[in-house]
Amino acid sequence: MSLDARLVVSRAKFQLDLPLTVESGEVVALLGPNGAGKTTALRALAGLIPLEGQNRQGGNVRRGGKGGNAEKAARDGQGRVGQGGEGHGEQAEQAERDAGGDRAERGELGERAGGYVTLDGRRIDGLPPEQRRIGVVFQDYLLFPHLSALENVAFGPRCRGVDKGEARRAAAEWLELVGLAEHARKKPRQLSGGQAQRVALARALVTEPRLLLLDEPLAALDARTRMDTRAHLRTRLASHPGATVLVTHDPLDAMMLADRLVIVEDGAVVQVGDAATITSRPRTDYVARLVGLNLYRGVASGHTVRVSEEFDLTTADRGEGEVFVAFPPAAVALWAERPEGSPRNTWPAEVAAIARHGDSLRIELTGPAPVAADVTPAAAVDLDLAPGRHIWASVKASEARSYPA
Amino acid sequence: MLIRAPWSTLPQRLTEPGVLAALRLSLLTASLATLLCLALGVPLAWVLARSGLPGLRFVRALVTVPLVLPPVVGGVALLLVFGRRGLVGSWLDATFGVSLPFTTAGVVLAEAFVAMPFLIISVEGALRAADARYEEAAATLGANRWTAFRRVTLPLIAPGVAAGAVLCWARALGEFGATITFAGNFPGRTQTMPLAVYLALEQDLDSAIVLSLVLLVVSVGILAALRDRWLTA
Repeated sequence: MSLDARLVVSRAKFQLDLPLTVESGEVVALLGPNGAGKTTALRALAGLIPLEGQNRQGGNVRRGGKGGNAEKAARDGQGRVGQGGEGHGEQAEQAERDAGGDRAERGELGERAGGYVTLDGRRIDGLPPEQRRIGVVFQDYLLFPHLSALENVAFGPRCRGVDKGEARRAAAEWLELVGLAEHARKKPRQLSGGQAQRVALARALVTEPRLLLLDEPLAALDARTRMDTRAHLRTRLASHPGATVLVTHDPLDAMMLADRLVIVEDGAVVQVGDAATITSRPRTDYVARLVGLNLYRGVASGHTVRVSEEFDLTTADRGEGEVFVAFPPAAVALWAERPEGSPRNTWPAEVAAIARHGDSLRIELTGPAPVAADVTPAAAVDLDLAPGRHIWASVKASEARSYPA
Repeated sequence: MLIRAPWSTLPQRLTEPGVLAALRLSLLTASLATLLCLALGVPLAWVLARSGLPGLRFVRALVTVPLVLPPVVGGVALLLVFGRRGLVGSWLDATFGVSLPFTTAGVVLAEAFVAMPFLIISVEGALRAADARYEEAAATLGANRWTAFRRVTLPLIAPGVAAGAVLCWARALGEFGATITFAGNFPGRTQTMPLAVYLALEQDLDSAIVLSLVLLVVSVGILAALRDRWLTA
């Protein structure tokens, strides 16, 4: 076990509670929408948001038994209504939290953090960033503008007591490794976005960090550079022996670069898994939209899933109880009239919006449930599709997969 | 001033020993005061801009007081603190046998006191404009706060520091009120150019004009040179 952490940060309108484990050599991506708390988590790992001790947080009470989400929900509930009548324990906890909040407001960042960070079995959450032996690639790289590419990369070794010549040699080696040997003397403003990204990566890796943190490493690049840099980053990460945590809101980056995905929404983990699991079995609307699937939650009884009172779906898999049903938009067929034959999975719907989606058109439908359907432009013309048009939609049972919620 | 200047006797008046001594003392004390301001002011500006400690508003107000205070009042305050019977002065006298008032060191102190706000305001502004995340990046690379400040922050804010130092130096060069109150007016020891001008004004108008001209030429010359070298870089 290389990295084992639980990151708890509370701010006025935001709670982050994120358990995270990363093996040596493993790349884990924190994937989530903007504002989900991914960058906050990364800053907490880096020590840029100081983690406070659990005791000061009243951590013993809160860490006992309950899972992260339940705990968070309980905290949210208390934060809103106070729940004064719930008993002494709750009230005491509330008071303690209020006191903590006051402390934090007087503090530097107005932030309060808790939990722990363990790296190779050693607690590092008490250490300042410079003693953590980590490497960080920031979203906009933050290359020192007054230093050349070489001096930027040599900065880390110099700070760790390596003599000047040796540091420069190591920096030159790394610039060679990321393919920028001939740009060593350039200042950051003379580098292109892709080159700056590589310098930033070299600068982070030259210190041989036990933990590498990447914050939206490709977000600042244009589409073409992004593809090249992503491939380059992939090779570099594969040869990095330490643990890597990558923060991104781009599912493609996450799936290409990471061994495991941790989906973060509103400061909490909603799903963990490898790319294949996440893409085939999304568990929230956000993930479903990311991977382009229609997702419903319902109660299964054999092959039939009751999504709502007037909407049943027949699925390929058998199930009982609470399940998710997912199917791709391309599996939805549209008809001008009620189709003959297979009566299952057919429902009347109304066209809400039409948008280009690759070579086809994506039709957003309202009806018993919101559905996205992909049709060819020819089919759209045939059906005379326009917003407000009433049509029939159907999905083959074999395309609809269900899995336990 | 240029019109009224006694051009015919200018060479003699300029070579009078008092003029050169006053000019040398002025340049020396202004430069030393600027160095003192840099040594004290840059760290203080950093604390004001970055530390987020409680009570900073009060400290900031205190730092800028010399801007609005009449310099003579500043001189009186310095006398009360550093005078032979002052709070710090009596201790200095007793411990080290050092007495600051009416010495060249006293001139430097008085000038630094009055000129410090110019440097601090300038440097604090530069620090606030500089991206604090560069310091964070330096920290993740293993730099402690001092290394990060020296190797990253200071180079980034160098133009602001230079501008502040120039302003500070110019203010120190022209300092009159606090100097005459705290350090007195002894030729060769505490008589800087502004004091010499004031003294000459009471005896000989032409001498006062010449001294003023010299101060004007020297200040404009040096400021112009520094501006070209540092501020437009």
